[in-house]
Amino acid sequence: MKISEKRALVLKRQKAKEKELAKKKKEQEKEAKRAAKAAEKDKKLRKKTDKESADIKSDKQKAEFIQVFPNARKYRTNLTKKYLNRKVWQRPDPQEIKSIIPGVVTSLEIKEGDHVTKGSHIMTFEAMKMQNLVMAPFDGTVETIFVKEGEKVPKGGVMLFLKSDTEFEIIQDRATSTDLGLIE
Amino acid sequence: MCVTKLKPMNLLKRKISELQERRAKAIQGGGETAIAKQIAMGKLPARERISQLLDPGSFFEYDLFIEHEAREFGMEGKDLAGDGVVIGTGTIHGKSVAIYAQDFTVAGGSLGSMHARKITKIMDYALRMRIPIIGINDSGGARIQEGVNSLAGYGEIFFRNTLSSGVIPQLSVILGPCAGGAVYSPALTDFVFVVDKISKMFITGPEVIKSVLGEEIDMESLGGARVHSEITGNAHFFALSEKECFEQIKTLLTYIPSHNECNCNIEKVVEPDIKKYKIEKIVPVDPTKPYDVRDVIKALTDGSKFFEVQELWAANIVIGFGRIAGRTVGFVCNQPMVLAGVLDCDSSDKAARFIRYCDAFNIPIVTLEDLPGYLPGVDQEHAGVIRHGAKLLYAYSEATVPKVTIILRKAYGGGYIAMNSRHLRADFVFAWPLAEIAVMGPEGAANIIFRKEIAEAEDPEAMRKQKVEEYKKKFANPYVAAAKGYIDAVIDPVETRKFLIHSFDVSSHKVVKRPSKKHGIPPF
Repeated sequence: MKISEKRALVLKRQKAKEKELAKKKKEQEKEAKRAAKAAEKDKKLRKKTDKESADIKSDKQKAEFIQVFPNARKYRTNLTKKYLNRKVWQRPDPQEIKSIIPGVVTSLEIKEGDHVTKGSHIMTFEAMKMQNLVMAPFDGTVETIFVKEGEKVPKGGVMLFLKSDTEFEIIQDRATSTDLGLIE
Repeated sequence: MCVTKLKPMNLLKRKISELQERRAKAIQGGGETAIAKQIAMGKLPARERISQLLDPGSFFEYDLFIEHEAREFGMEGKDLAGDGVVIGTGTIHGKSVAIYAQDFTVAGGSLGSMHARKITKIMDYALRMRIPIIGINDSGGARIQEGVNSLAGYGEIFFRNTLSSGVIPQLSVILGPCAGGAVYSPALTDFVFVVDKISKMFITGPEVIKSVLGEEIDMESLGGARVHSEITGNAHFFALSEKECFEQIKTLLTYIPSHNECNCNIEKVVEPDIKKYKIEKIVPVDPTKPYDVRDVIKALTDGSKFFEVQELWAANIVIGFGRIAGRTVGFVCNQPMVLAGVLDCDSSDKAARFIRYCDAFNIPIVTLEDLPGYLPGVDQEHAGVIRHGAKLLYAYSEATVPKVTIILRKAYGGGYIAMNSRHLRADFVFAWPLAEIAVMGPEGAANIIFRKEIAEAEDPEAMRKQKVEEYKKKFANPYVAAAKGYIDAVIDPVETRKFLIHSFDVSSHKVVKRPSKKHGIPPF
């Protein structure tokens, strides 16, 4: 009995040892996998940052600058597409009657050379399933008509040029920043 | 005798096999052909997505046997498995999450009243259990046959999005079309994930735009993933494949807490990679030279890891999550490599929303400041840079989480105030020795202050240079602000991380008392 008990004990201990070894192996494998993943990620990171630093170096040939204050230092930097494509502001001429929405010209009530009074109906414009009535914003003579009946007009398209009876006073603010005592 | 003993077992077995049959049928969704079509389009079926995102075997599905109640326009007798959406709960890296995934194979994933009922059910669960909710959107839109019931469903979903906003993290994953009214749900959530060529978000589609306005555009250019990542700023994370997207979701969830009253899990402290990112060498002393501020961030965070949010939109400001001493921290930094790091409409929007998110979820904020001011231009002014810039001031002032600012180089005028100055109640403001804190740059200031002397001098250019040097010596340094106590300390760049760790240790139990109000009125 004693011998078999001893044998049983020895077997037990052996099994326990084997289990421990197996556990350790598993953990080592897991760690190896983790290390491999981390190494891969590091490689990718290095590639990315190398590329980015190469981009910055190649910018020496592009040399994009931006100024924030007048007659002041120029900052070397990258400009965004949105900044480069920005619309340059032009003073709008109120004599140009533009469309405020894309649509179709349904009917024209006037011809070239007609005189119109303020508030009279010039044309009908179909947009968003509504028949919009375009009224004359001031007294004037129709100089040129750029559209025909049934023509599609994009947003902001000039439809006709209405020459005003009275000269338009282009109210331009002649004051400059220094007049107002502004710091910049 | 044995036969009578087996009978009850037989009955139970039959019941269980019936359950398994019903389950198998419902899990098929729209059928094999529909699933094959979905895969051919490059998209995974809904349940496959869930099993890839959640921990293996951790998904428990609810409301599998829901049936729609529509009876008109041919809906009677139509069998729609689960009414087109899969809801359930599971875990991601051991963290409990609630999830719903719309199933494009069932009636095009269209939303009917029972479909919406399932989604609102899981959203209610998520709010009650205080766990994050992930919504995988892949739907053709409202089910026209159900009429106003679909609209009612959407309304209920949007209300719950707003109710849960700031209490539990809400993530939207756009893995298909998300058009019309449906797209407002992702817009109300905290983070939107898009995948190239698969995500499509717009209110009115190309056909409607063509027939009503006459403008021709294809779906991808109108509301594809790139448009929303680069131009509109609706998307927060851009991935090239669904798999990459799921990895991003899992990474994000390791940074953010599960709800607004629990603390982020603190991980083991790992030092940043100082061999690769030498903080004292990244920022050039010449203030006109650019550098990548992300290198500075990586020189400060644990393990040099930085998880950037909205990388492609408004690139002149960088926002994202990192860890400092094991704690999650939000970063808001000017990027001198793009537009010299100026503030404009888009960047103010981007930063302000992120600051409010961090404030809602108790994530401390680090601000790295290096900006020459606001972007000048008629297009900016007419676009409302005043209103948008004010959002940033509002967000910083309102935030009561620990806020630390580090002025790296330039901090002029309105930009100095807006980027979390002492006056907006930053907890600690530190400056590097190369900082220039002034109303404006030396050249601009000299031009104005010494205008008379320069005009009356014999050699205006030489006089101007001399005056610029004078101004530089006197004002373009951090010591003037330090003399007033507007900054707390001028620090050596190498000590920055030490200061940050100590600042967050010290301010972790910060208490702020504000006048009671229902809520403020930010310049939306």
